[in-house]
Amino acid sequence: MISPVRVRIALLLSVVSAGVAEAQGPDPAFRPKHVVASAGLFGSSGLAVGDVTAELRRNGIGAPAPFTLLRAESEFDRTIGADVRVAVALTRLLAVEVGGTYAKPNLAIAVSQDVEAGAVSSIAGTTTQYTVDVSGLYQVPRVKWGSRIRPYVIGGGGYLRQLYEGRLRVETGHTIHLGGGIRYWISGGQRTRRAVGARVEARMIRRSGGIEFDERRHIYPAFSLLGFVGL
Amino acid sequence: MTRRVILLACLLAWGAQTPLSAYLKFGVRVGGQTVDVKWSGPVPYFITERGIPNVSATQLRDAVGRAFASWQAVPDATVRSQFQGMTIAPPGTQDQRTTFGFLDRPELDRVLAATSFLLDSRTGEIREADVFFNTRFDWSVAAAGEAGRIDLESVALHEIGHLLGLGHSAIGETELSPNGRRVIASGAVMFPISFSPGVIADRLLQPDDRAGIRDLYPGRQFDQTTSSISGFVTKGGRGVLGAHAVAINLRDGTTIGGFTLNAEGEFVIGGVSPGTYLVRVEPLDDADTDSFFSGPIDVDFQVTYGARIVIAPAGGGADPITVQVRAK
Repeated sequence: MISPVRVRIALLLSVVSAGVAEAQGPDPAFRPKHVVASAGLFGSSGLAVGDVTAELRRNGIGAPAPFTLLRAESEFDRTIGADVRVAVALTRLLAVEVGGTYAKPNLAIAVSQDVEAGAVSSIAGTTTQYTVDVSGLYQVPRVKWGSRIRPYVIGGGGYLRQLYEGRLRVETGHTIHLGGGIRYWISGGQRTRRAVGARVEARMIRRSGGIEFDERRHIYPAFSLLGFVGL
Repeated sequence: MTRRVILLACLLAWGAQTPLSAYLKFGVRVGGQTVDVKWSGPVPYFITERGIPNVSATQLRDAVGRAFASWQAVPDATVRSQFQGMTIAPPGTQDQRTTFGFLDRPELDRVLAATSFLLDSRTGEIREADVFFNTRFDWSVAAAGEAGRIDLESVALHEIGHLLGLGHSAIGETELSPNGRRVIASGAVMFPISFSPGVIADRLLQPDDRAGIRDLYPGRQFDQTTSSISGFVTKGGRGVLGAHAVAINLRDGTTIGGFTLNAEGEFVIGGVSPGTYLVRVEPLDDADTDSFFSGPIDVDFQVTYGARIVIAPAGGGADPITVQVRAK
């Protein structure tokens, strides 16, 4: 049987112990079984989504080379959109994150080699793009930049949905992404305090499907700047 | 029953004229409205029992049969034909029989072949159509073509397109030559100028031909599997008549055309595959426009692209696009 005096001593030791640990500055990290919400902006590079040459059947015996009527090259311009994510920490270093983005990238068509139209003609179209993805997020434990910044790696996959202007046509596809970033804690990051901070992230995204005019898988970089708060 | 004959002497011309792109359909005025000229059922046809040097009547029959088969093989279209037998009657005889055959027409030194119709003017339905191949020219049915001879199957394919109700397409490029215009390249079997002797490329239908025949003879799935592109061509705020509007598929580069057919400059291109398109508008400016229109049209404007892409959804039509052109 433990006497009341011994209990009081034990509690006091525990409090002291915890205070010493915080004073030493443990690595900022996730709080296991807690949620972290992030929101901010993402940007993606321009993305070529196909080029096509309209050809005519040439007059000639055998198989003469086709006659080029025109060439059209399609590309999404660089774009910026909204980026929202919710992560659930499994451990102090590992979290599962569900995210979504929204953007309105401009689709530009450059027409060339039209002998009758002369110079390059440009045709533009606006699209609306949504993505939903799931990622694993792992904080690299052995890399430490000061007491507030820690790097992480991220990887996962998602669903892509793009609509042309007028919403007449919907194209869907899938994405796979891999990248990394850094998290900066303004406050918190320890087990007992609510975290607030910012994160910067770069990802390479491999896209299949969506609005495209060829059969290739497209790979392009994307960047995010997010604020986060632990809940 | 009121009937009238429409003679089309514009058939596959030899060194005639015309560039450009797009399919047209024949139409007649019935009860104040324009209706398509077409067959209401399978096309029953005969072959004239007359051969020429290098091509027998049997070989003509076989070439015509292969050409019909090409049209009948177009997906989402319902073209049908029935060979009825051989006949001693030459084409052009009004005998209630649709007949293909060779005919001596030396005065038509630039016409390879022609199609004539007997129509029911109350319905636009074709009652009889005859196709002649001009013996003034040297013909061939060799599988790989023959140098110096016109490929019979290619010309039959074009003529059957007319016989079914299609007009000329303008998808093509030509150049002036001592004998008139020479075709450099074309994007449709229904282009009005034939390829050179020895060339057999026009035994295969092109997307513009297939779109036209699907539009004229739609299959059961036509409404669900195809789309249409429409719009207006204007110049200075007024519609342009006779402008050639070409839809270019951004995925595969196929080209399908149409014309503005009224004073408002309105065009409709039916039977196109669902997808994303550019619209290119050009004038019929370096050709004899008689191959396409019986009256004057506007050819004084620059080649112009629509300012936006056009989405052609399956089972519906694209949002109309207006293309504003400027005078040359």
